[in-house]
Amino acid sequence: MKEQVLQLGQYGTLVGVLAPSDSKCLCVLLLNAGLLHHVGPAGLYVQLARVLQQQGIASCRWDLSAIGDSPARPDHLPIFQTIVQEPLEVMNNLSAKGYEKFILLGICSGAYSAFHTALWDARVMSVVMINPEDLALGQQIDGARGRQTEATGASEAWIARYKRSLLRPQAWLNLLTGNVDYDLLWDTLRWRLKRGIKKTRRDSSIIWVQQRLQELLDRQVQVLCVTSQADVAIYYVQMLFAKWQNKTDPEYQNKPVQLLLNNTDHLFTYIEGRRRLLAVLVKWIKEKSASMSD
Amino acid sequence: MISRQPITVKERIEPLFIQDLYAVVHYPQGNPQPKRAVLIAYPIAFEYERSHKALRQLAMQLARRGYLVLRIDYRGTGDSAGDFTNWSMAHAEQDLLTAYDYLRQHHDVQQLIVIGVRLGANIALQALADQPGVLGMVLWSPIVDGEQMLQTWWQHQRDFEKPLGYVLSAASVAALQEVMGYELTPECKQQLAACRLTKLPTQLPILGLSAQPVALTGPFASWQVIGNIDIWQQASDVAMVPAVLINQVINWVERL
Repeated sequence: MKEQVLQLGQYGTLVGVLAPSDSKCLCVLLLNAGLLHHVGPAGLYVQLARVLQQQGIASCRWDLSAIGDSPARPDHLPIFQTIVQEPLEVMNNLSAKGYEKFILLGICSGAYSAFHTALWDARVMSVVMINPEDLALGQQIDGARGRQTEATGASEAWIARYKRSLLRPQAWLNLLTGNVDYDLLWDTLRWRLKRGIKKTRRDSSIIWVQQRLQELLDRQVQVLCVTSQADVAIYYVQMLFAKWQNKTDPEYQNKPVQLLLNNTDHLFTYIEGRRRLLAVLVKWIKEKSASMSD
Repeated sequence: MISRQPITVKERIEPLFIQDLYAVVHYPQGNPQPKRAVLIAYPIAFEYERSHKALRQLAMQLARRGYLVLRIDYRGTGDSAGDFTNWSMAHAEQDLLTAYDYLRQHHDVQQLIVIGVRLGANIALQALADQPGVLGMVLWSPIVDGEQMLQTWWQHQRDFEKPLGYVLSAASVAALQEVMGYELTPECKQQLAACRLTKLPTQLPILGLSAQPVALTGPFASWQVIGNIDIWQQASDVAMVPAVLINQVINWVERL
């Protein structure tokens, strides 16, 4: 079955490609990885869509407003609203075509979009977050918003990463040869100094995200987090998921799953790493799809 | 008192599949009868990914000036059918001809300007320079020497791998099997290495743009050396849209 080009959203301005399937039960929504257009990093989303279609699972890759092929949104909605509002609109469009349930999948900011959209819509049965960086970014937490929360969850993760780098000769070599993001390093260290060398309280943004995650799990939404070995998201997700580690009570039956892929970077640039990622994603989506038909 | 109204620019675009090729048509704004059409020929591999934003912006600006613009993904790239491992110059040339035919048949385009970026410039020259109705071409950093381009790609891959602390996957261009996520088959590499730009068409107005001087001339060709032209050097999330360069291209197109 061939792919179809669609113009989606409230204004019909969001450009997308639907890889349809005969079964209209489930559709996987592939969300923009940062500013990369809907084909995904090195065409990852296209490859995934085609493999899923061969397995009888539909998917839709599309561009948020002002990204890729989609023009800017006419109502100029702020970005933190757009990345939730537009996936909801696209789900409405696809529901009108008969798709009942959705899996939201995104890399980096796409993971953020997937997570926050799932909080608003009961049609979402699973969320797949790949290398999420700060899921509390821009949210109202303890009366603080935006920049103030930005330097919390992600900075904690960077501190954890830098600590481990202290023992890696290659990391020191990178530092001396300019292969390091000095701005990020400086910002993180400054944030840590400002907060005090000794950790005194748990990060409120981490707790906030854990609470929201629990809401999803209570709704029986299946959560998968894939992290790359060379990405700071490992530490961030470990901090987030620590709450569910070693929990065996029945109330913790639906736990979020973290998978670490070795020898991979933030955008899965290596072909071999991308193949392993595709295998993990297809397996997860097929399992969820099968559980729907049971 | 100044009352401020939000400015909404209505872009009319149409994404579509032409045969199995994904394309986007940008319709001219405020002008149902387009002045002329512009076909944008993309680069390939990671250069395609990184220049997408800038070329979309270029298309949008041209549509605002009254041009009908078409962008098309070669087969095996972007959303078009096929896999990059089967990519070939011959197929890409055929794909541009398909786009050319589409514009003539479906939009009654009689006058066309082609903007080719990197390898897209070479492909466009090969496929469209002699076609009726082609008024001129912009060659945006064309590949003058394919081997040199592969050397640059290899360097890119090395620079990417170094901070990750990985063992370099390719010690030389000859051993290079992938570049920034795109698989390079021996056939593909052979074609890229053989790519040369040695002469320009004599009858066609050409605007050449490059970061380094290029010793190519023609009766209707002008060559400009400008900075910030190699937009594919930066990752997509930090790449800037070269507004000055885009204006330069549009001004040349307008003067044709």
